[in-house]
Amino acid sequence: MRLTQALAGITTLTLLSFLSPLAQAHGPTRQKVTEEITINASPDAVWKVVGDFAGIANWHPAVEKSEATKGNEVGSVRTLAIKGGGKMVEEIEGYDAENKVIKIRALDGGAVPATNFSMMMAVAPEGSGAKVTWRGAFYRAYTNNDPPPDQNDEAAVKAVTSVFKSGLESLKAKLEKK
Amino acid sequence: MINKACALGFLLVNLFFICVHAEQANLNTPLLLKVQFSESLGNIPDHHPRAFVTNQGSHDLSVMDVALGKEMARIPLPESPAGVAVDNTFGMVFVSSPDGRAVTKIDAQSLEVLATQEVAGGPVGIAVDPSGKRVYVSDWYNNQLLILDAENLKVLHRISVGHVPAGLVISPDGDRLYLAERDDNQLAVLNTHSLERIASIPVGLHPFGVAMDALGKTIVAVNVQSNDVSIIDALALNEKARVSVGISPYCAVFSDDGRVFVTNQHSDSVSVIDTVTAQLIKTIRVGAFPEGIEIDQGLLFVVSWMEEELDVIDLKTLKMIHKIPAGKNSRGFGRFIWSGAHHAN
Repeated sequence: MRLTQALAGITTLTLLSFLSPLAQAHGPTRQKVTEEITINASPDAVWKVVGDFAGIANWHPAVEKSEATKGNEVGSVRTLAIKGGGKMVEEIEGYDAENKVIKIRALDGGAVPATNFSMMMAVAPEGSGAKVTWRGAFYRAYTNNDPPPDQNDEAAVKAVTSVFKSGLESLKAKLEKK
Repeated sequence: MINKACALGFLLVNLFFICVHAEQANLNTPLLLKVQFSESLGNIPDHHPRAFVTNQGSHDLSVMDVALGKEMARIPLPESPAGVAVDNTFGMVFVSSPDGRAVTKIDAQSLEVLATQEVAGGPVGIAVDPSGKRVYVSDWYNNQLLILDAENLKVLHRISVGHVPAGLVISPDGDRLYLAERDDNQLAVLNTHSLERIASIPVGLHPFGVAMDALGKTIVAVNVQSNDVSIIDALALNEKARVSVGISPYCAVFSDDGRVFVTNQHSDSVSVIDTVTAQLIKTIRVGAFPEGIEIDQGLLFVVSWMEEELDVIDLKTLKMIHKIPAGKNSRGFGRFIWSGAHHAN
Protein backbone atom coordinates (compact mmCIF):
# COMPACT_ATOMS: atom_id res chain seq x y z
CA MET A 1 0.00 0.00 0.00
CA ARG A 2 2.78 2.35 1.01
CA LEU A 3 4.55 1.80 -2.28
CA THR A 4 1.43 2.69 -4.23
CA GLN A 5 1.16 5.90 -2.27
CA ALA A 6 4.80 6.72 -2.91
CA LEU A 7 4.36 6.10 -6.60
CA ALA A 8 1.23 8.23 -6.77
CA GLY A 9 3.10 10.98 -4.96
CA ILE A 10 6.02 10.83 -7.34
CA THR A 11 3.74 11.00 -10.37
CA THR A 12 1.99 14.10 -9.07
CA LEU A 13 5.30 15.71 -8.30
CA THR A 14 6.56 15.00 -11.79
CA LEU A 15 3.68 16.97 -13.17
CA LEU A 16 4.39 19.87 -10.84
CA SER A 17 8.02 20.03 -11.76
CA PHE A 18 7.07 20.71 -15.35
CA LEU A 19 4.96 23.65 -14.28
CA SER A 20 7.71 25.27 -12.25
CA PRO A 21 10.18 27.65 -13.87
CA LEU A 22 13.80 26.70 -14.48
CA ALA A 23 15.05 25.30 -11.23
CA GLN A 24 18.65 26.40 -11.21
CA ALA A 25 18.88 28.71 -8.23
CA HIS A 26 17.62 27.74 -4.80
CA GLY A 27 16.22 29.29 -1.65
CA PRO A 28 18.49 29.82 1.31
CA THR A 29 17.26 27.04 3.61
CA ARG A 30 18.75 23.65 2.84
CA GLN A 31 16.83 20.64 4.10
CA LYS A 32 18.03 17.17 5.00
CA VAL A 33 16.53 13.72 5.27
CA THR A 34 18.15 10.63 6.76
CA GLU A 35 16.55 7.19 6.54
CA GLU A 36 18.04 3.94 7.81
CA ILE A 37 17.10 0.29 7.65
CA THR A 38 18.66 -2.91 8.96
CA ILE A 39 18.76 -5.83 6.60
CA ASN A 40 19.31 -9.45 7.48
CA ALA A 41 22.07 -9.98 4.89
CA SER A 42 25.83 -9.52 4.85
CA PRO A 43 27.15 -6.00 4.18
CA ASP A 44 28.88 -7.39 1.07
CA ALA A 45 25.62 -8.78 -0.28
CA VAL A 46 23.84 -5.49 0.41
CA TRP A 47 26.62 -3.41 -1.16
CA LYS A 48 26.49 -5.57 -4.28
CA VAL A 49 22.98 -4.22 -4.84
CA VAL A 50 23.31 -0.68 -3.40
CA GLY A 51 26.70 -0.10 -5.01
CA ASP A 52 25.40 -1.01 -8.46
CA PHE A 53 24.66 2.51 -9.70
CA ALA A 54 22.88 1.44 -12.87
CA GLY A 55 20.79 -1.19 -11.13
CA ILE A 56 18.44 0.92 -8.98
CA ALA A 57 15.46 -0.21 -11.08
CA ASN A 58 16.10 -3.70 -9.70
CA TRP A 59 15.13 -2.64 -6.20
CA HIS A 60 13.46 0.78 -6.07
CA PRO A 61 9.69 0.47 -6.52
CA ALA A 62 9.34 3.92 -8.13
CA VAL A 63 11.98 3.29 -10.80
CA GLU A 64 10.86 1.57 -13.97
CA LYS A 65 14.12 1.56 -15.85
CA SER A 66 17.65 2.74 -15.11
CA GLU A 67 20.85 2.92 -17.08
CA ALA A 68 24.24 4.49 -16.43
CA THR A 69 26.85 5.89 -18.79
CA LYS A 70 30.03 4.70 -17.08
CA GLY A 71 29.01 2.04 -14.57
CA ASN A 72 30.23 2.87 -11.07
CA GLU A 73 32.90 5.38 -12.06
CA VAL A 74 32.84 8.88 -10.60
CA GLY A 75 31.08 11.04 -13.19
CA SER A 76 28.89 8.21 -14.44
CA VAL A 77 25.38 9.52 -15.17
CA ARG A 78 22.28 7.41 -14.72
CA THR A 79 18.84 8.18 -16.09
CA LEU A 80 15.89 6.81 -14.18
CA ALA A 81 12.50 6.39 -15.80
CA ILE A 82 9.97 6.90 -13.03
CA LYS A 83 6.88 4.70 -13.00
CA GLY A 84 3.92 6.76 -14.10
CA GLY A 85 6.10 9.23 -15.99
CA GLY A 86 8.94 11.65 -15.36
CA LYS A 87 12.61 11.02 -14.88
CA MET A 88 15.57 11.67 -12.67
CA VAL A 89 19.10 12.23 -13.95
CA GLU A 90 21.82 11.53 -11.40
CA GLU A 91 25.61 11.53 -11.33
CA ILE A 92 28.17 9.75 -9.14
CA GLU A 93 30.13 12.30 -7.09
CA GLY A 94 32.05 9.81 -5.00
CA TYR A 95 32.42 6.04 -4.88
CA ASP A 96 34.19 4.30 -2.02
CA ALA A 97 33.84 0.53 -2.45
CA GLU A 98 36.10 -0.21 0.52
CA ASN A 99 33.93 1.72 2.97
CA LYS A 100 30.75 0.99 0.98
CA VAL A 101 29.74 4.60 0.43
CA ILE A 102 28.30 6.10 -2.76
CA LYS A 103 27.66 9.82 -3.22
CA ILE A 104 25.20 10.94 -5.85
CA ARG A 105 24.04 14.31 -7.15
CA ALA A 106 20.63 14.64 -8.82
CA LEU A 107 20.28 17.15 -11.62
CA ASP A 108 17.62 19.80 -11.06
CA GLY A 109 14.24 19.58 -12.77
CA GLY A 110 13.65 15.87 -12.09
CA ALA A 111 10.68 14.05 -10.63
CA VAL A 112 11.35 15.11 -7.03
CA PRO A 113 10.42 18.74 -6.16
CA ALA A 114 13.88 19.55 -4.86
CA THR A 115 16.86 21.43 -6.24
CA ASN A 116 20.59 21.10 -5.66
CA PHE A 117 19.82 17.59 -4.42
CA SER A 118 22.75 15.51 -3.29
CA MET A 119 22.63 12.20 -1.47
CA MET A 120 24.77 9.43 -0.11
CA MET A 121 24.12 5.78 0.59
CA ALA A 122 26.27 3.81 3.00
CA VAL A 123 26.29 0.16 4.05
CA ALA A 124 27.76 -0.81 7.44
CA PRO A 125 27.77 -3.98 9.53
CA GLU A 126 24.97 -4.15 12.11
CA GLY A 127 24.84 -7.22 14.35
CA SER A 128 24.85 -10.23 12.06
CA GLY A 129 23.40 -8.17 9.21
CA ALA A 130 23.82 -4.76 7.66
CA LYS A 131 22.54 -1.24 8.12
CA VAL A 132 21.85 0.94 5.11
CA THR A 133 21.82 4.72 5.55
CA TRP A 134 20.36 6.96 2.86
CA ARG A 135 20.95 10.63 3.44
CA GLY A 136 19.92 13.57 1.28
CA ALA A 137 20.55 17.33 1.28
CA PHE A 138 18.49 19.60 -0.93
CA TYR A 139 16.59 22.83 -1.34
CA ARG A 140 12.91 23.15 -2.17
CA ALA A 141 11.74 23.42 -5.80
CA TYR A 142 10.51 27.00 -5.51
CA THR A 143 13.56 29.17 -5.45
CA ASN A 144 12.13 32.47 -4.21
CA ASN A 145 10.36 33.71 -1.09
CA ASP A 146 6.79 32.59 -0.29
CA PRO A 147 6.62 29.24 -2.13
CA PRO A 148 3.30 27.65 -3.07
CA PRO A 149 2.47 24.69 -0.77
CA ASP A 150 3.41 22.05 -3.35
CA GLN A 151 6.90 23.52 -3.78
CA ASN A 152 7.79 24.48 -0.23
CA ASP A 153 10.28 22.95 2.21
CA GLU A 154 7.71 20.51 3.62
CA ALA A 155 6.77 19.25 0.14
CA ALA A 156 10.42 18.62 -0.71
CA VAL A 157 11.12 16.84 2.59
CA LYS A 158 7.98 14.73 2.21
CA ALA A 159 8.87 13.67 -1.33
CA VAL A 160 12.48 12.81 -0.53
CA THR A 161 11.44 10.92 2.62
CA SER A 162 8.95 8.92 0.59
CA VAL A 163 11.56 8.07 -2.06
CA PHE A 164 14.13 6.97 0.56
CA LYS A 165 11.68 5.04 2.76
CA SER A 166 9.96 3.13 -0.02
CA GLY A 167 13.34 2.37 -1.59
CA LEU A 168 14.89 1.03 1.60
CA GLU A 169 11.85 -1.09 2.46
CA SER A 170 11.84 -2.59 -0.99
CA LEU A 171 15.61 -3.17 -0.82
CA LYS A 172 15.18 -5.03 2.47
CA ALA A 173 12.32 -7.12 1.11
CA LYS A 174 14.33 -8.07 -1.95
CA LEU A 175 17.48 -9.00 -0.05
CA GLU A 176 15.73 -10.92 2.71
CA LYS A 177 13.64 -12.95 0.27
CA LYS A 178 14.97 -16.47 0.10
CA MET B 1 22.92 40.61 31.95
CA ILE B 2 24.57 38.30 34.39
CA ASN B 3 23.07 39.95 37.46
CA LYS B 4 19.65 39.74 35.82
CA ALA B 5 19.76 35.98 35.80
CA CYS B 6 16.67 34.55 37.32
CA ALA B 7 16.89 31.48 39.45
CA LEU B 8 14.60 29.50 37.19
CA GLY B 9 16.36 26.27 36.42
CA PHE B 10 15.17 23.39 34.27
CA LEU B 11 16.61 20.26 32.82
CA LEU B 12 17.28 20.19 29.08
CA VAL B 13 19.41 17.64 27.25
CA ASN B 14 21.01 16.55 30.50
CA LEU B 15 22.27 20.03 31.19
CA PHE B 16 21.15 22.44 33.82
CA PHE B 17 20.01 25.60 32.15
CA ILE B 18 19.44 28.96 33.72
CA CYS B 19 17.01 31.14 31.91
CA VAL B 20 17.67 34.80 31.44
CA HIS B 21 15.28 37.30 29.95
CA ALA B 22 16.98 39.16 27.19
CA GLU B 23 16.36 42.85 27.08
CA GLN B 24 15.34 44.00 23.64
CA ALA B 25 15.78 47.47 22.33
CA ASN B 26 14.41 48.64 19.00
CA LEU B 27 12.50 45.46 18.42
CA ASN B 28 9.90 45.56 15.70
CA THR B 29 8.50 42.09 16.24
CA PRO B 30 7.13 40.94 19.56
CA LEU B 31 9.59 38.10 19.91
CA LEU B 32 10.19 36.72 23.34
CA LEU B 33 13.84 35.87 23.17
CA LYS B 34 15.28 33.93 26.04
CA VAL B 35 18.93 33.10 26.32
CA GLN B 36 19.46 29.65 27.73
CA PHE B 37 22.76 29.15 29.51
CA SER B 38 24.08 25.65 29.81
CA GLU B 39 25.95 26.16 33.05
CA SER B 40 26.23 28.50 35.98
CA LEU B 41 26.94 32.00 34.75
CA GLY B 42 29.74 32.53 37.19
CA ASN B 43 31.72 29.78 35.51
CA ILE B 44 31.80 31.26 32.02
CA PRO B 45 35.14 33.00 31.50
CA ASP B 46 34.67 36.02 29.24
CA HIS B 47 38.31 36.02 28.15
CA HIS B 48 37.85 32.72 26.33
CA PRO B 49 37.17 32.96 22.60
CA ARG B 50 33.59 32.14 21.67
CA ALA B 51 31.98 30.72 18.58
CA PHE B 52 28.57 32.00 17.49
CA VAL B 53 27.11 29.32 15.25
CA THR B 54 23.83 29.97 13.44
CA ASN B 55 21.46 26.99 13.52
CA GLN B 56 19.14 27.34 10.57
CA GLY B 57 16.96 24.36 11.50
CA SER B 58 16.44 25.14 15.19
CA HIS B 59 16.19 28.92 14.63
CA ASP B 60 18.79 29.83 17.18
CA LEU B 61 22.42 30.69 17.81
CA SER B 62 24.81 28.32 19.59
CA VAL B 63 27.32 30.13 21.78
CA MET B 64 30.36 27.96 22.39
CA ASP B 65 33.34 28.36 24.65
CA VAL B 66 35.96 27.05 22.24
CA ALA B 67 38.66 26.72 24.89
CA LEU B 68 36.45 24.46 27.01
CA GLY B 69 35.10 22.81 23.87
CA LYS B 70 31.43 23.08 24.77
CA GLU B 71 28.28 24.98 24.10
CA MET B 72 27.56 27.51 26.83
CA ALA B 73 24.30 29.09 25.70
CA ARG B 74 21.60 29.04 23.08
CA ILE B 75 19.91 32.22 21.84
CA PRO B 76 16.56 31.96 19.97
CA LEU B 77 16.45 34.06 16.79
CA PRO B 78 14.07 35.00 13.96
CA GLU B 79 13.44 32.09 11.56
CA SER B 80 16.33 30.26 9.84
CA PRO B 81 19.40 32.24 10.92
CA ALA B 82 22.27 31.72 8.47
CA GLY B 83 24.73 34.60 8.17
CA VAL B 84 26.84 35.87 11.06
CA ALA B 85 29.30 38.73 11.51
CA VAL B 86 31.28 39.21 14.71
CA ASP B 87 32.66 42.66 15.37
CA ASN B 88 35.74 42.18 17.52
CA THR B 89 36.12 45.92 18.11
CA PHE B 90 33.00 46.35 20.18
CA GLY B 91 32.30 42.68 20.88
CA MET B 92 29.05 42.55 18.95
CA VAL B 93 27.47 39.78 16.91
CA PHE B 94 25.16 40.42 13.95
CA VAL B 95 23.02 37.63 12.50
CA SER B 96 20.89 37.44 9.34
CA SER B 97 17.68 35.38 9.29
CA PRO B 98 16.59 34.82 5.67
CA ASP B 99 13.17 33.36 6.49
CA GLY B 100 12.57 35.65 9.47
CA ARG B 101 13.67 38.49 7.14
CA ALA B 102 15.48 40.12 9.99
CA VAL B 103 18.88 41.10 11.35
CA THR B 104 19.68 40.68 15.05
CA LYS B 105 22.41 42.28 17.17
CA ILE B 106 23.79 40.48 20.22
CA ASP B 107 26.37 41.48 22.83
CA ALA B 108 29.14 38.86 22.54
CA GLN B 109 29.99 39.03 26.21
CA SER B 110 26.65 39.35 28.02
CA LEU B 111 24.76 37.56 25.22
CA GLU B 112 22.03 40.14 25.49
CA VAL B 113 19.93 40.62 22.35
CA LEU B 114 20.30 44.36 21.80
CA ALA B 115 18.26 44.90 18.64
CA THR B 116 16.24 43.10 15.99
CA GLN B 117 15.38 44.76 12.71
CA GLU B 118 13.04 43.49 10.02
CA VAL B 119 14.55 44.11 6.61
CA ALA B 120 12.20 42.25 4.19
CA GLY B 121 13.56 40.11 1.34
CA GLY B 122 16.06 37.41 2.17
CA PRO B 123 19.04 38.65 4.17
CA VAL B 124 21.89 36.12 3.85
CA GLY B 125 25.47 37.43 3.68
CA ILE B 126 26.43 39.80 6.47
CA ALA B 127 29.59 41.73 7.36
CA VAL B 128 30.49 44.53 9.74
CA ASP B 129 32.98 47.21 8.80
CA PRO B 130 36.24 47.43 10.80
CA SER B 131 35.09 50.55 12.65
CA GLY B 132 32.09 48.58 13.91
CA LYS B 133 29.72 51.33 12.75
CA ARG B 134 28.05 49.86 9.69
CA VAL B 135 26.62 46.46 8.89
CA TYR B 136 26.31 45.28 5.30
CA VAL B 137 23.73 42.68 4.35
CA SER B 138 23.12 40.98 1.01
CA ASP B 139 19.46 40.46 0.16
CA TRP B 140 19.48 37.33 -1.89
CA TYR B 141 15.89 37.57 -3.14
CA ASN B 142 15.70 41.25 -4.04
CA ASN B 143 19.24 41.58 -5.43
CA GLN B 144 20.08 44.37 -3.06
CA LEU B 145 22.79 45.37 -0.66
CA LEU B 146 21.57 46.85 2.62
CA ILE B 147 23.63 49.22 4.72
CA LEU B 148 22.58 49.28 8.37
CA ASP B 149 23.60 51.46 11.28
CA ALA B 150 25.40 49.02 13.59
CA GLU B 151 24.21 50.91 16.64
CA ASN B 152 20.45 50.43 16.19
CA LEU B 153 20.22 48.37 12.97
CA LYS B 154 18.29 51.08 11.14
CA VAL B 155 18.49 50.62 7.37
CA LEU B 156 20.47 53.60 6.07
CA HIS B 157 20.66 52.63 2.38
CA ARG B 158 19.51 49.98 -0.04
CA ILE B 159 21.27 49.68 -3.36
CA SER B 160 20.70 47.39 -6.33
CA VAL B 161 23.42 44.87 -6.99
CA GLY B 162 23.83 41.82 -9.27
CA HIS B 163 21.89 38.58 -9.21
CA VAL B 164 21.73 36.55 -6.01
CA PRO B 165 24.23 38.46 -3.87
CA ALA B 166 25.84 36.13 -1.30
CA GLY B 167 29.10 36.43 0.68
CA LEU B 168 30.80 39.76 1.26
CA VAL B 169 33.92 41.20 2.93
CA ILE B 170 35.04 44.74 3.79
CA SER B 171 38.60 46.00 3.31
CA PRO B 172 40.62 46.67 6.49
CA ASP B 173 40.36 50.46 5.90
CA GLY B 174 36.60 50.12 5.51
CA ASP B 175 36.64 51.81 2.09
CA ARG B 176 35.81 48.90 -0.14
CA LEU B 177 33.30 46.12 -0.17
CA TYR B 178 33.67 42.90 -2.14
CA LEU B 179 30.46 41.01 -2.86
CA ALA B 180 29.87 37.66 -4.60
CA GLU B 181 27.13 38.09 -7.19
CA ARG B 182 26.44 34.41 -7.47
CA ASP B 183 24.30 34.12 -10.57
CA ASP B 184 26.36 36.70 -12.46
CA ASN B 185 29.52 34.68 -11.75
CA GLN B 186 31.36 37.78 -10.63
CA LEU B 187 32.73 39.66 -7.65
CA ALA B 188 31.45 43.22 -7.26
CA VAL B 189 33.82 45.83 -5.84
CA LEU B 190 32.01 48.80 -4.31
CA ASN B 191 33.11 52.07 -2.77
CA THR B 192 31.54 52.03 0.71
CA HIS B 193 31.30 55.82 0.89
CA SER B 194 29.76 56.65 -2.49
CA LEU B 195 28.24 53.15 -2.82
CA GLU B 196 29.33 53.23 -6.45
CA ARG B 197 30.68 50.21 -8.27
CA ILE B 198 34.42 50.27 -8.83
CA ALA B 199 34.68 46.99 -10.71
CA SER B 200 33.01 43.69 -11.56
CA ILE B 201 35.56 40.89 -11.60
CA PRO B 202 34.60 37.71 -13.47
CA VAL B 203 35.26 34.59 -11.37
CA GLY B 204 34.23 30.90 -11.56
CA LEU B 205 30.69 29.56 -11.57
CA HIS B 206 28.36 30.54 -8.74
CA PRO B 207 30.68 32.26 -6.25
CA PHE B 208 29.23 32.07 -2.73
CA GLY B 209 31.74 32.65 0.08
CA VAL B 210 34.32 35.45 -0.09
CA ALA B 211 37.44 35.82 2.08
CA MET B 212 40.22 38.38 2.35
CA ASP B 213 43.70 38.34 3.87
CA ALA B 214 44.46 40.52 6.90
CA LEU B 215 46.14 43.22 4.79
CA GLY B 216 43.32 43.40 2.28
CA LYS B 217 45.60 42.59 -0.66
CA THR B 218 44.25 39.23 -1.73
CA ILE B 219 40.69 38.02 -1.95
CA VAL B 220 39.29 34.61 -2.75
CA ALA B 221 35.86 33.86 -4.15
CA VAL B 222 34.61 30.31 -3.64
CA ASN B 223 32.94 28.99 -6.80
CA VAL B 224 30.36 26.36 -5.84
CA GLN B 225 29.53 25.10 -9.32
CA SER B 226 32.96 25.06 -10.93
CA ASN B 227 34.52 23.41 -7.85
CA ASP B 228 37.34 25.94 -7.59
CA VAL B 229 38.39 29.18 -5.95
CA SER B 230 39.34 32.42 -7.70
CA ILE B 231 42.36 34.18 -6.24
CA ILE B 232 41.96 37.91 -6.80
CA ASP B 233 44.45 40.75 -6.59
CA ALA B 234 42.55 43.39 -4.61
CA LEU B 235 44.67 46.26 -5.94
CA ALA B 236 44.87 45.26 -9.61
CA LEU B 237 41.21 44.13 -9.43
CA ASN B 238 41.73 41.00 -11.46
CA GLU B 239 41.76 37.25 -11.04
CA LYS B 240 45.35 36.01 -10.61
CA ALA B 241 44.65 32.30 -10.53
CA ARG B 242 41.98 29.68 -10.18
CA VAL B 243 42.62 26.60 -8.07
CA SER B 244 40.55 23.40 -8.15
CA VAL B 245 39.35 22.19 -4.77
CA GLY B 246 36.76 19.59 -3.64
CA ILE B 247 33.13 19.23 -4.71
CA SER B 248 30.70 22.11 -4.05
CA PRO B 249 33.10 24.39 -2.17
CA TYR B 250 31.33 27.01 -0.08
CA CYS B 251 33.33 29.26 2.24
CA ALA B 252 36.96 30.19 2.87
CA VAL B 253 39.25 31.84 5.39
CA PHE B 254 42.85 33.10 5.28
CA SER B 255 45.50 32.21 7.84
CA ASP B 256 48.12 34.80 8.74
CA ASP B 257 50.75 32.98 6.67
CA GLY B 258 48.83 33.37 3.42
CA ARG B 259 47.18 29.99 3.25
CA VAL B 260 43.50 29.71 2.43
CA PHE B 261 41.22 27.07 3.91
CA VAL B 262 38.15 26.16 1.86
CA THR B 263 35.15 24.05 2.93
CA ASN B 264 33.95 21.48 0.40
CA GLN B 265 30.32 20.62 1.14
CA HIS B 266 30.05 17.45 -0.92
CA SER B 267 33.56 16.16 -0.21
CA ASP B 268 33.27 16.52 3.58
CA SER B 269 36.69 18.15 3.56
CA VAL B 270 38.71 21.36 3.79
CA SER B 271 41.17 22.21 1.02
CA VAL B 272 44.32 24.07 2.03
CA ILE B 273 45.72 26.39 -0.66
CA ASP B 274 48.91 28.40 -0.86
CA THR B 275 47.70 31.68 -2.40
CA VAL B 276 51.22 32.72 -3.44
CA THR B 277 51.99 29.63 -5.52
CA ALA B 278 48.28 28.99 -6.20
CA GLN B 279 48.72 25.32 -5.30
CA LEU B 280 46.55 22.95 -3.37
CA ILE B 281 48.73 21.86 -0.43
CA LYS B 282 46.55 19.53 1.57
CA THR B 283 43.05 18.22 2.15
CA ILE B 284 41.66 17.73 5.66
CA ARG B 285 38.70 15.48 6.48
CA VAL B 286 35.99 17.21 8.52
CA GLY B 287 32.34 16.65 9.46
CA ALA B 288 29.95 16.18 6.51
CA PHE B 289 28.71 19.25 4.62
CA PRO B 290 31.20 21.74 6.06
CA GLU B 291 30.10 25.35 5.63
CA GLY B 292 31.30 28.27 7.75
CA ILE B 293 35.05 28.38 8.44
CA GLU B 294 37.11 30.63 10.71
CA ILE B 295 40.59 30.98 12.14
CA ASP B 296 41.45 32.48 15.52
CA GLN B 297 44.53 32.22 17.77
CA GLY B 298 46.00 29.12 16.15
CA LEU B 299 42.74 27.25 15.77
CA LEU B 300 40.70 26.41 12.69
CA PHE B 301 36.93 26.22 13.14
CA VAL B 302 34.63 24.43 10.72
CA VAL B 303 30.84 24.21 11.02
CA SER B 304 29.40 20.90 9.79
CA TRP B 305 25.82 21.27 8.58
CA MET B 306 25.13 17.55 8.32
CA GLU B 307 26.73 16.47 11.62
CA GLU B 308 25.50 19.62 13.39
CA GLU B 309 28.77 20.34 15.10
CA LEU B 310 31.69 22.73 15.24
CA ASP B 311 35.00 21.05 14.44
CA VAL B 312 37.95 22.67 16.22
CA ILE B 313 41.27 21.89 14.53
CA ASP B 314 44.83 22.76 15.55
CA LEU B 315 46.18 24.96 12.76
CA LYS B 316 49.74 23.66 13.09
CA THR B 317 49.16 19.93 13.27
CA LEU B 318 45.76 20.04 11.47
CA LYS B 319 44.51 17.54 14.04
CA MET B 320 40.96 17.64 15.40
CA ILE B 321 40.81 18.91 18.99
CA HIS B 322 37.07 19.16 19.67
CA LYS B 323 33.78 18.37 18.00
CA ILE B 324 31.30 20.65 19.74
CA PRO B 325 27.62 19.76 19.16
CA ALA B 326 25.55 22.61 17.70
CA GLY B 327 21.85 23.04 16.93
CA LYS B 328 19.92 21.76 13.94
CA ASN B 329 21.34 22.47 10.47
CA SER B 330 24.25 24.55 11.76
CA ARG B 331 25.82 26.93 9.22
CA GLY B 332 27.97 29.76 10.57
CA PHE B 333 28.13 31.62 7.27
CA GLY B 334 30.47 34.54 7.92
CA ARG B 335 32.81 35.57 10.74
CA PHE B 336 31.57 33.70 13.77
CA ILE B 337 34.45 33.81 16.29
CA TRP B 338 34.70 36.40 19.02
CA SER B 339 38.32 36.51 20.19
CA GLY B 340 37.38 37.15 23.83
CA ALA B 341 37.13 40.14 26.16
CA HIS B 342 40.88 40.76 26.41
CA HIS B 343 41.01 41.38 22.67
CA ALA B 344 38.58 44.27 22.82
CA ASN B 345 39.97 47.72 22.19
